[in-house]
Amino acid sequence: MKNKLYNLVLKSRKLQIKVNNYLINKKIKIPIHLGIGHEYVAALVKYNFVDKKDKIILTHRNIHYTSLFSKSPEKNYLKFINKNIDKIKSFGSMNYYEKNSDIAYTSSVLGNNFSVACGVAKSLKTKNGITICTAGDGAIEEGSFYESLLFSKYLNIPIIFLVENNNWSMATTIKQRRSDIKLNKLAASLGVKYYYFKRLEIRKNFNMYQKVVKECRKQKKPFVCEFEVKTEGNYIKDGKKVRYHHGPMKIEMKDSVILKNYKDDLIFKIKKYI
Amino acid sequence: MRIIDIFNSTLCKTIKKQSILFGQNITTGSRIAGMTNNIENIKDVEILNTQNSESSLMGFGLGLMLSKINAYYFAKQLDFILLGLDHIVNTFNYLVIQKIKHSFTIVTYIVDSGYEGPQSRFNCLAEFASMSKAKCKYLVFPEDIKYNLKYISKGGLNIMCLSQKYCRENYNPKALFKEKNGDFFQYLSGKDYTFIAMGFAAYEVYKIILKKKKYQNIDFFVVANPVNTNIKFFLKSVLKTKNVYLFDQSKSMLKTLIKLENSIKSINKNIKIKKFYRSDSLEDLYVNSDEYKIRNL
Repeated sequence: MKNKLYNLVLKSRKLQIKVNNYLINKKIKIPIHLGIGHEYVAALVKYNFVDKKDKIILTHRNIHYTSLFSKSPEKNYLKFINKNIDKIKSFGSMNYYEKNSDIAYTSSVLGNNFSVACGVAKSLKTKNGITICTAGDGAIEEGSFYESLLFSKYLNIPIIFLVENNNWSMATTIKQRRSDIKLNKLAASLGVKYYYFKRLEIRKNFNMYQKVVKECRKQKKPFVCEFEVKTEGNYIKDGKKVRYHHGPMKIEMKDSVILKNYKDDLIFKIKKYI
Repeated sequence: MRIIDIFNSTLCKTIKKQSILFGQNITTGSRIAGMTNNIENIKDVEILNTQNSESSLMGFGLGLMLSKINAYYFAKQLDFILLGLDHIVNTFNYLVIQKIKHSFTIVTYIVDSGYEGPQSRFNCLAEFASMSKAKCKYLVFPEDIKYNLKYISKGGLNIMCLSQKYCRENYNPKALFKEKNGDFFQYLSGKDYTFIAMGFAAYEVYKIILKKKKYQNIDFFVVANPVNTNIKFFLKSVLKTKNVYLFDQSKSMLKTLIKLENSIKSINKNIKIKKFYRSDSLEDLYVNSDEYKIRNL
């Protein structure tokens, strides 16, 4: 069981490293927002996901999910390096689309996907499926987050708003751009259950997320899950490291998947846990 | 019957089973000035009287559409929908390529009734149509309303607009010709003049036609689609009558009728064209009756 989770994490990391190399060598022209360091969250979602029954709604930073939810992720990303990319009928990475997959929708605009996810969740209410709507700490600043949270509670729909809090929105930290949001209190004020997933508490997170999914499926109600994440890698501009995780990332590898000099790289931690 | 009653009774008959109908005040109060009367009597549909979150309601409707559920969103007025422009552009166009057969339909009023201040400036359906590539329609006379509400069943994003000012009035001209996509309708046929009215301009024009004998023998067209109307059909009439009157009471900067004007001029410079468009003054920013006055006709 644990091995399956670890393998999902590895699968996601490997594809991202490969794509990152193409970005570094400028073989991929389109913008791809990497999620190196976010793989554990995506793996946890995939692990608890019921294929063809549940749906996932993504944001522009989605490769850690698409690498796991796509039927042929490598093929899909490698077509972006095709010289004839202009002739490929594709939405690109930020609006990732794959026919007949469980990825129902991907938004390139912050906060755009919350309400679309409510529509999808409404359709799943009578089918015993649940909807996972991913977001970051930047997207929850949008008014649509509040609107959709309120609406999902009113409709009592099976949806998990999964917030990956990496503390960054582009090159700006939370402190640099806004006052603190007590997401637990916001959710509580609307009668929505909230769970916080501390990054290094792997075992606890595994059990807690499983419980949330079970409750969501059974009670057909909305939940908010906030995951603490650390996006690894830096962008190098004019010889200086810039904390901006767009890609390509300057990443030094210890081996094919574990990052060098990142003692708390989750892959390393999960491996130890197994 | 009043325009709003024709709309309402047709709507109740044409909504497909398993649809979800939602919006603010749709089952309470005036039911958006009669727009959603009797919707509880529609069988096998779900009705949601919702919160005031226009942007999210737009996203919700598109989420339903991509989940293969036909959705209807009833909104008080077109400028409310501005809050959902992101969805009209980004979300809807994500769905376009997927060739989804289901529909999301927004029904709303255009604020043309006057005394509304800045909201009156947004009598601009053409801009919505241009930005979204959605099927936007003016619902004017009973026959075009019936035709275009049935057209919804072809799927996609539809934005259907009623006139706040004229929807409680009675009009019942018979359509002689209905363009297959419901883009325009011909209500009179004759040799003396060609009258082409964009959307709600048709009401004032029709009143004049009924009053003045001079205009009994005319071709009278009402344009329902503010941007995608094929003007070739009108040119045939123009070449026949050689007397063209163009009417548009919208405040849109995108005028299909100007395209028609240019085509007419390029074909025959001797054809007389009279235009009755709204001025670009700031007059309508202030509270006033917002009347569309057709002078010297």
